[in-house]
Amino acid sequence: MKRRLFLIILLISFLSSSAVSIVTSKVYYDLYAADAKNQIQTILGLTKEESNWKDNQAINLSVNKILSTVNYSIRFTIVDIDGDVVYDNRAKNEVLENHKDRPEIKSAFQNGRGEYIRRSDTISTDMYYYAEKINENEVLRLSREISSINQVFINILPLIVFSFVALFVVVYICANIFIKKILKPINLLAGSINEITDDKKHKDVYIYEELEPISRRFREQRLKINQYINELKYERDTINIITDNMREGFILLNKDKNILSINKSGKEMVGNDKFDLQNERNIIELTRNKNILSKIDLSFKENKHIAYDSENDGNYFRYYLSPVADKENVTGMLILIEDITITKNAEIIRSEFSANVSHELKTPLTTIIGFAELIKEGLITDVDSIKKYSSMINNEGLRLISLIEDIMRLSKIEENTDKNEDTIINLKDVLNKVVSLLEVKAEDLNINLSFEATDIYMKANYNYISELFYNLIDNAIKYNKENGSVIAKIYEKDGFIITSVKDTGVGIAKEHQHRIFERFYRVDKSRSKDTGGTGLGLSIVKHIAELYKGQIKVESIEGDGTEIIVKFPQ
Amino acid sequence: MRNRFDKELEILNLELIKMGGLIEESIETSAKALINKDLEMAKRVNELEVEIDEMEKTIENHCLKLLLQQQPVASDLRIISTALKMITDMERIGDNAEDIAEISKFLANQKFIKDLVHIPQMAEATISMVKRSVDAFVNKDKELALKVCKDDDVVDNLFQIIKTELIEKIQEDTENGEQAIDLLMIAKYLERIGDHAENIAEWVIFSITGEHRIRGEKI
Repeated sequence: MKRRLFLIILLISFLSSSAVSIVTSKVYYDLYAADAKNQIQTILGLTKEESNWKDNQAINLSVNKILSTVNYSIRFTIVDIDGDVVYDNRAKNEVLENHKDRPEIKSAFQNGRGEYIRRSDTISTDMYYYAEKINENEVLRLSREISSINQVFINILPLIVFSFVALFVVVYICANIFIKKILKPINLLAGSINEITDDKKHKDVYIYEELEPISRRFREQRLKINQYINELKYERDTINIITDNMREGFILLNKDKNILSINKSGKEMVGNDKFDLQNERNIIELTRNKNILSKIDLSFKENKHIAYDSENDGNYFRYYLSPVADKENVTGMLILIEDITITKNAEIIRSEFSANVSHELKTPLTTIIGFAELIKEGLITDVDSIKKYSSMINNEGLRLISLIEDIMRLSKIEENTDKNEDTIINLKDVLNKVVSLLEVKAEDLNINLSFEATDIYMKANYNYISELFYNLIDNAIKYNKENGSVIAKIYEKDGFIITSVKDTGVGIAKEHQHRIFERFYRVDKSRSKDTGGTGLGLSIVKHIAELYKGQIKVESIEGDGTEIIVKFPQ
Repeated sequence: MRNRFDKELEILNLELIKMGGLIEESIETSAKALINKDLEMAKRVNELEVEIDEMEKTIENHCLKLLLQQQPVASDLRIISTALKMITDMERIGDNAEDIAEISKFLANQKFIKDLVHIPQMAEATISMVKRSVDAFVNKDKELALKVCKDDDVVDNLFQIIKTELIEKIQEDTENGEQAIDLLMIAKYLERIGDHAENIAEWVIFSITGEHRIRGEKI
């Protein structure tokens, strides 16, 4: 802008000064030429009397006289009516060509006078001829050189060039000052745009009146932009709040697989919770898990949704890969990661459970069918054997029934259909009864069974609590050593009712401790047959405890005994 | 111009991470091949080794092209020279993993002279070192790189333990000698991998600070 303005100013001044110099040279030349002609005409007019030119002596006298009065050379020529040159002061001894057809001579014979300017292309001077009749037969012609217009121009050229240079300097300085002056308020406007667009500060800044509409526009725009920014901020914050509080991992990729957005859960689930997303970073910087990366590639390539399960340190994650497509082209990808560890573990437990339950139910049935078949086929005939085998069938049948009863009881506790049968019961009475039931069994196995209890009352279903004690003490007796002991206790502490059953038995290894309450879970699978039981006992205990908001704790050292503590809130 | 150069550096960075991913997979697979006597896994390591070699060539060409065409200075030059040094260490890790896989193929149809206890531990420690050195590179994490350098001592100690155990085994029965030497070789390869991982971590520190760490020195 500044440069253009400057160039325009310079161009205008150059053009105008050129025009002026051309016109000046023309006027100057015209004046000069007119003056030159005038002089010649005057000289001729004054000296044209015939007497001055009648013989050679008179001619020479006149010529010398005239030449002595002027400071330039004049050529004198006398031509007769036939066009022959009678006298010429420049070519005295030469024979000159016929001058009859020269325009000035011709005109002089006809009209008494004539003039002509012969322009020269090569010489920088023109010749001016002026002729007048001096008598009927002779014409006197005077001629002198005058500078051509070009010559005049060339003569004054240095002056013009000098004035151009001077002009350039002056224009340069003036234009600079001028341009600066024009641009100053605009620069001010640009520099103080913040103040100008701010309504409060606006008054303090001086700008051109003519620029006021612009600054008003700026203010309007600024308001709009601020509004947009606020809207965008609000939207972004909303999205951030949503993604940051999502339990699921969330990752957004662009078409180069650079991460545009990732939430905290996403980082944790991928296993790179230190990941810091400043600019766009490629997905490969987040995880180098080849399986996930190849699935993402596949999803990008084929533009289809993919769900993929991945395991990371015992946790299971499901990746939902959704390509974001614009018509045919995939322009990005949305990845949701769900933690499916609980579901996956539950699946494993469920499949183990159904395998266990069918095994537990099938084992007694196989025995029953086997012996029944032997008897049916008549392979066993003697009464003793029949007695023995039918009692085994009977036992297995009873076992089956107790198993089914346990399963039913368990589901009943789970559903808690007997809740309205809750009454206030004395736990000491319940324990007393259970101990007396199991005393015989303990004596058979040479185990010392004892209990310590005070009168503690609790609102519960009598049968359930009795079941709980029975199962705990029964286990304590069953998994005990020869001459071992079992102590059951009930006491109050810190507002809790605490029941504890402690034995000196085989103990439970650490890795089994958290699993013993699962249905059908057996620490020692091969021993289960000898000790009997359905593998549901502790599972029932756990469900009853949970029913009354109790907590179960197992303290056990393998080979040293076990203590199972159940804590009920009062 | 600068913009394009930055883009090229970014691509170089991603290529290095990719190569890092390959060496991680390679050493993990070779450890599995050894411990589970899995021939399929051992074959997979061979394939990975080819991929790693190709990757090394690609990155090397890329680096040289950048050096010649862009004539980088200061930190740019440091990044590229670091890349050139790192790929050498990465490639060596790939080679060592392949060597382990080769011995595993041979051991796959033998009974181990003793249950492998310390070798899996050592493998785990080296895998972790390699992983974390790549992580340190990805995240430009100087602290993590320093930790990796420190962990090399763990691997070195395990190597000493394994060596002593194997000597005992040979003293018990000279029949054990052949396998004991194979296992010793494996332990040595793992120890070398640990050294290379340490080198990578050192290069990471160099690319961040511009100072090369002298082995054992604290920065």
